[in-house]
Amino acid sequence: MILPVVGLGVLAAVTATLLRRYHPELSLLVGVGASVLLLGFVLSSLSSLTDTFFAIAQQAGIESSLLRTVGKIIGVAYIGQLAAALCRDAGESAIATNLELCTKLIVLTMSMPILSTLFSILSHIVR
Amino acid sequence: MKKWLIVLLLLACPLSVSAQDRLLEEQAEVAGIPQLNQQAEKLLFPYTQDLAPDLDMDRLTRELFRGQWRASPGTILQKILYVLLQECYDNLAGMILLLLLALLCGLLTQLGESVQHGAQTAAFYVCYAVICAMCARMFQTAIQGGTDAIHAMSEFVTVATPVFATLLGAAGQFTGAAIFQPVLYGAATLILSLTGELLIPLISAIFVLCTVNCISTDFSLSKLCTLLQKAVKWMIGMALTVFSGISVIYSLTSGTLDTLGSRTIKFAIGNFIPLVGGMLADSFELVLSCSAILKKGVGVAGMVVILLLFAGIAVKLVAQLWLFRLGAALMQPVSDKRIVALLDHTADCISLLFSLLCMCALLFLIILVMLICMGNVSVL
Repeated sequence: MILPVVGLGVLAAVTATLLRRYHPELSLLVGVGASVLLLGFVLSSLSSLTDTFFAIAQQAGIESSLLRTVGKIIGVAYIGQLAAALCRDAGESAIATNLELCTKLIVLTMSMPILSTLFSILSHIVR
Repeated sequence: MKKWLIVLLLLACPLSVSAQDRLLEEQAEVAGIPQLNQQAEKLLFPYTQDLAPDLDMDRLTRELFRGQWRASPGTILQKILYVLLQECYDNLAGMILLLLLALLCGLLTQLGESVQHGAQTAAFYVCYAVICAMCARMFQTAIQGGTDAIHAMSEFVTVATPVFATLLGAAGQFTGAAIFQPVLYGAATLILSLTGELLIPLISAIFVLCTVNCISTDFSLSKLCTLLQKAVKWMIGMALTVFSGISVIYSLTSGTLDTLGSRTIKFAIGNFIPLVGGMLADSFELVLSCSAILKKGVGVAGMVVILLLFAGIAVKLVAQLWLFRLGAALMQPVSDKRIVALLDHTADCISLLFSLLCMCALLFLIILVMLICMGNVSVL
């Protein structure tokens, strides 16, 4: 599991460095492609982990929608972070900053149901 | 002739015992003990179905009157341990999920350290919110259980007050009955309003403040939290001291007065009623001591009721408390310190609730012990 991931990562890094001298635009594409491949590789084996997570949640009597939202938000945050890093690599730090801001806003919008649940519980406690 | 006398004596012994039994039963009926038992069973049912599923208050009080009740500490401990483990198991899944989320939060902060205020920070706050919500839900059930138990205890004492007053009066403690009914009733209502109106909302407020306090490392409310926690602890201590002091003083003074009172009555019956006066005075004493036995039996049964009510919920609180402490200890090396602080604060709030419950149980127990002790002072 770890060897292909590491191999792919190192290989992509070496290729990108070699390409950067002659074709900088291609080296960026290598970076994007490697990131997507790596993510896809890990995500495919992640399903067993999430299954365990949901099973425990069900046993604890917690709505799976809450956990699903958490998972989505973490995924969104990672993808946004990755895209911003790639933009930074390409030298476009303004776009990267904007991308981060947008990601944060999306995360905030997605987390609204969780926050409202929390506030309703807390206000019910204080009453 | 001698042989016949011995046989007669032997026959008379069980007869007198059964007569005493009948007297006990009649007095119990008049004082309304069966109704009290029914009420107690109804109150106890939600709390003791796993601790003592075969509880029978009628049998318990009857055994207590006759001094036949034997409780083995081993079985009781075993049952408490069983309920404790059961409660731990029930909360285990939620706790594991909470810890997994905390681990995720730790990973997020570790990863987010390289990029300050990145999207990971936002994701961390969402995770934190979910952990908060789970803690809050557990805390809410704990506080609900504690409030219900305190209500049940005070309801029991309120229901038991008239019975105690009757028995106190029947045992010749008229001053005691006159004083203790309002004292018992007042204590029950005062404790209830003190906990319901002041202490429980304060503990809830402390929990919410701690949650807010843990969200940010820059914005701190920790001193306010400590202040409120200390205030609650002080109030619990004060209430305990004041109530026990008052009830001790009342029971001492009224006990002495009543000894005087019943002596006077016995003297009056013995001397001023012609011919049968001496016999009547003796039977007066028998009635007095029967009532005292009943009162002790009911008092001890009441203590058992209060203890069962207390133990049923206290075991659950202790299980939750230690699960939270364990979670905080496990997460400290791997997770963010805000989450560790949150788990720790939740445990603190549950322990406050636990001490509040202890206070209520102890106060009601002290009142019952006072009632039982009063019989010892004034029966001749």
